[in-house]
Amino acid sequence: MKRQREDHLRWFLSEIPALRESDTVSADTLAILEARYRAELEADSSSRTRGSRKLVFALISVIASLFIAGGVISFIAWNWHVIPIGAKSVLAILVLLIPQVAGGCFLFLSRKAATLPGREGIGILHAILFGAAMAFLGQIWQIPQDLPFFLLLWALSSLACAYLYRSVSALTLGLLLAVIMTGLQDSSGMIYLLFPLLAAAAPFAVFGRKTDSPARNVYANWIFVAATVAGLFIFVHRTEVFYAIALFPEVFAALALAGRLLEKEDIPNSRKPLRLSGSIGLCVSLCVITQTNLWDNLYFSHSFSFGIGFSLLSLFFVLLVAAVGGIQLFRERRMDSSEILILIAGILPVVLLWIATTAHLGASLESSWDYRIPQTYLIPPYFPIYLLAFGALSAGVILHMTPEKMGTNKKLLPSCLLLLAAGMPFIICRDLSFPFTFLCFPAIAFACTSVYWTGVALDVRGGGKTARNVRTLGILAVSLSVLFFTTPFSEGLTRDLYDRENLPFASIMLLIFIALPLLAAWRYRKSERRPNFVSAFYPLFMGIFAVDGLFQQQPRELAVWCDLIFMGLIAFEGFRIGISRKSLIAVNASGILLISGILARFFDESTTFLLKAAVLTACGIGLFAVNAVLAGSYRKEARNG
Amino acid sequence: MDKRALRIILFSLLCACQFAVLVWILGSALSLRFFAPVIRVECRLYDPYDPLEGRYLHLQPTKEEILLTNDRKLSEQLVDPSNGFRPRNAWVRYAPDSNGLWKPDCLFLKRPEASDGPFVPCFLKEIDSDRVLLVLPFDRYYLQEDLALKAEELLHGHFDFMPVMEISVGRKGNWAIKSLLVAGKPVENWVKEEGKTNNRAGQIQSASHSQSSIIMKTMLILSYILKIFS
Repeated sequence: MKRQREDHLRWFLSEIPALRESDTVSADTLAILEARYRAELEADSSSRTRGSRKLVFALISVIASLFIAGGVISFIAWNWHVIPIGAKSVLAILVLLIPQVAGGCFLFLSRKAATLPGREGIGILHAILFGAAMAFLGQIWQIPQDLPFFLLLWALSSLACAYLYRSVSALTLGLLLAVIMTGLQDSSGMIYLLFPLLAAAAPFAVFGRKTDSPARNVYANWIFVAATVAGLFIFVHRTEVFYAIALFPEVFAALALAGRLLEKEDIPNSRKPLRLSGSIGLCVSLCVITQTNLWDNLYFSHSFSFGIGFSLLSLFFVLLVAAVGGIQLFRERRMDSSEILILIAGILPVVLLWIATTAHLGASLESSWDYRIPQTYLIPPYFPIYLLAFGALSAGVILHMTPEKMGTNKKLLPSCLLLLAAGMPFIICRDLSFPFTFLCFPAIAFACTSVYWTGVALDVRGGGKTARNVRTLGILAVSLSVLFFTTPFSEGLTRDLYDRENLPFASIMLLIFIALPLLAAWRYRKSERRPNFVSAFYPLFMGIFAVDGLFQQQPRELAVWCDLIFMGLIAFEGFRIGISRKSLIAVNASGILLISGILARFFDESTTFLLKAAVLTACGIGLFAVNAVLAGSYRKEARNG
Repeated sequence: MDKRALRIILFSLLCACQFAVLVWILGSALSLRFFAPVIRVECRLYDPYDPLEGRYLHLQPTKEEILLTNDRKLSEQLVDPSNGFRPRNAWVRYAPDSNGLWKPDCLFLKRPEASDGPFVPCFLKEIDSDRVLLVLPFDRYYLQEDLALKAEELLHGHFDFMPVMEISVGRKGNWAIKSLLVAGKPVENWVKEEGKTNNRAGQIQSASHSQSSIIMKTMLILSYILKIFS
C-alpha cells in the first residue's frame, strides 16, 4: 500500500513541470502542493526504510538467539561427566533463570522494551531455554522421558512467551511443538490437546494487534494456518477416517470465513492467508474426500452415520461460504456476462464435487450394506475423480474464455488451479491401479509444473498479480519437489558428498548457494528486468543433487528429470528476458533449503557436541554484535540527519 | 489495575510456573534417588546418537519376557476371542533371583499396590504360546560423548562384561536409573580404567609392531643388496 502511495506521489511530482508550463494551476499553488507532497513522499519512504530495517534487525536477532540456544543445547548434550551432579543441576536452573531475568529486565526496566528485534530475540531465547533446562535435568538424573508431556509443557510455555513478549518466533516454536506432540500420539490420550493449543494460539495469530506491522500479522497468520493444517493431517491419520470428512471442510470453511471478515480486500493474495488457505483448502479437502478408498472404509455403522452427518454439515459450510461470496459479488459489482461465467466457473467444481461425493456415498452404501454382497458399485469407484477433473478442466476453459477478467478474479482462480493440480496423482493412481510411488512422483512434478505454466499463460494474457503469484507458487512447488526427490531423504552420492573427505567440495557448494542469492540481489539492485545470468547457473547445481536420484535406480529419477528440464526452462526464460524478483526469490528459497540440508548433514555424529556448541555460540554472539553495530551506526546516521 | 502491572504479574506467574516445573523434576529425581528401593537388572548395551540429547548408551534388559503358564486367567484376559491379542500398556513386577539380579516376575493389567513389590510400567508387544514379550521403559543411559564412544568400543563383542543397571523404583512405578555397572564398577570409571590399560597395551603393541617392521625392512634391503652383488 505504502509503495503504491509512493508511486502515485512520484507520478504527481513528475507532472508538476508540465502543469507549470501549461499554466493551468498558479505557480504559488503548485509550489505549495509540491512542498507538501514532496515532504509526504520523503516521510513515507523513510518510514518504509525504518520498517524494513526493523524487520532485518528482528530477523538477525531471532537467528542469533537460535544459534545461542543451539549452542547451549549442544553444550548440555556433551553430558559432562567431570561436573558433579549437583553443580549440573544448578547449571540447569541457571539455563532458565538467565533468560527469565534478562526477559524481565528487558520488558519492564529497559526503555527499548517496545523494539521488535529485542522482543523477538529474547522471546525465542526464553522459550527455547525452558525446554533445554527441562531436558538437561532429565539427562542429569537419568529420568525416563515422557516426550509428549515434555513437549506439551514446552509448547504451553512457548505460547505464554509469545503473548508476553508479543513474539511471533515464540509462537512459531509453540505451534511447531504442538504439531510434533500430536505426531507422537496414538489414537488415544493427548492427541485431542492439539485443539486447545491451536485455540490458545488463535487470538494472537489470527487477530494480531493494531500496533504490530501488517507483515508481521500476516506471517503469524501463515504460521497458524500451517500448524492447523499439519496438526489436522496428523490427527486424522492417527484417528478415524470419518474425522477427515468432518474436520477438514469445517476448519477450512472457518478459515475462509475468518479471512472474509478480518482481512482487507485491496491487498495481494499472499497477504490474505486465512482467505487463501481457507478457499484452497476447502477445494483440496473436497477433492481428497472424493478419493474412493476413504469411503471404502466406511460401513453402515455409527461411523457411516457420522460420515453422512458430517458431510451434510460440511455442505452447509460450503454453501455458506459460496453464499457470502455470491452476495458480496452481487452487491459490490455490476454483473455482466463475463462475471457470471467466472462465478459459474468458481461454483461449478464445488457443485460437481458434491454431486460426485453424494453419488459415491450411494455407491458405497450399496456395497457396504451387507458384507456378504460382493463389492459391486453402482458407479465406478473412480467416477468422482473423473467428475472432479472434468469440473476443474471446464472451469479452466471458461476462465480462458474471459481473459480480460482473469486478473481480477482473485478468489476463484487459485481454487480451480489447485483442483486441477491436486486431482492429477489420484486420477492416475486410482484408475490405472499402478503402485502409488511409481506414478505419483512424476505426477506431482507434472502438477507443480502445470501450476507454473498456467501462471505464465495467465501472465501473457495480462493476469496481473494473480498470475505472478501462481507462477511463484509453481516455482516454489517444483523447487520443493526437487529438494524432496534428491537431497535430504536420499542416500548414495549426496551422502558421500558430506563425508569429511568431501568436505572441501561440499564447502564450495555451500558457498555457491550462499553467493547465488547475494549475486541475484546485487543484479537486481543494479537493474530490474535485465537478462539474468544468475538463474542460468541454477540448474547446474540442481543437477549435482539430482545425480543422486539417478544412482538410486528408482522411479523418482523421472521426476527429477522433469524438474531439471523445468528449471532449465526457467533459467532460459530468465536468461532471455529476466525473471521477476519474486520468482528469483522463490527459486533461491530452494537454494536456502538445500543449504539447510547440507548444514544438517554437516552437523551429524561425526562432529563433536563441544565443537558444535562453540561454533553455534560464536555465531550467535557474532550476530548480536553485528546487530548492535548496525543499530548504532543507524542511530548515529539518524542523529546526524 | 493498569496494563503494565498486569503484564508484570503474568510474567512473574510464567517464570514461577517454569521454575516450579524444574523444581518438580528435581524433587521427584531426588526422592527417587535417595528414598526409593533399588533393583539391579542385567542388560546389553550399544551407543546410539541423538542430535539434541547427545550420546547415550542404549540399554536393553536381557530378560524382556514373562511366562504365562501359571496364569491362565491373565492369558485369557490378554487374548480377546474375537479380536485376538492387542498390544497394550501394563505393569510388570520385579523379583530378585539367587544372584541378586532382578527379573520380571508378574504382569498386572491394572496398576498394582506398592505393597505388591517394585513394579514399573511396560508395553506388551506380542504374545507367544505361553509367554508375553515386553518392551521395558529403561532404554537409555546418558554418558559423556567420548566415554560413550569408548564404552561401545570396549564392550563390543565382549559378552563376559554383562552390564547391570541399578534402578530406583518409586511407589507408583516411577523410576530412574541410578547407575550403570560394568564389572562391578560405574561405567564411567570402568571406561576410564579400561581405556588407560588398552592405551598402554596399544602403545606396547604398536611399538613392537614398528620394531618388527623396521627389522623386516632391514632384512628386505639386505636381501636386495645381496641379490645385486650375487
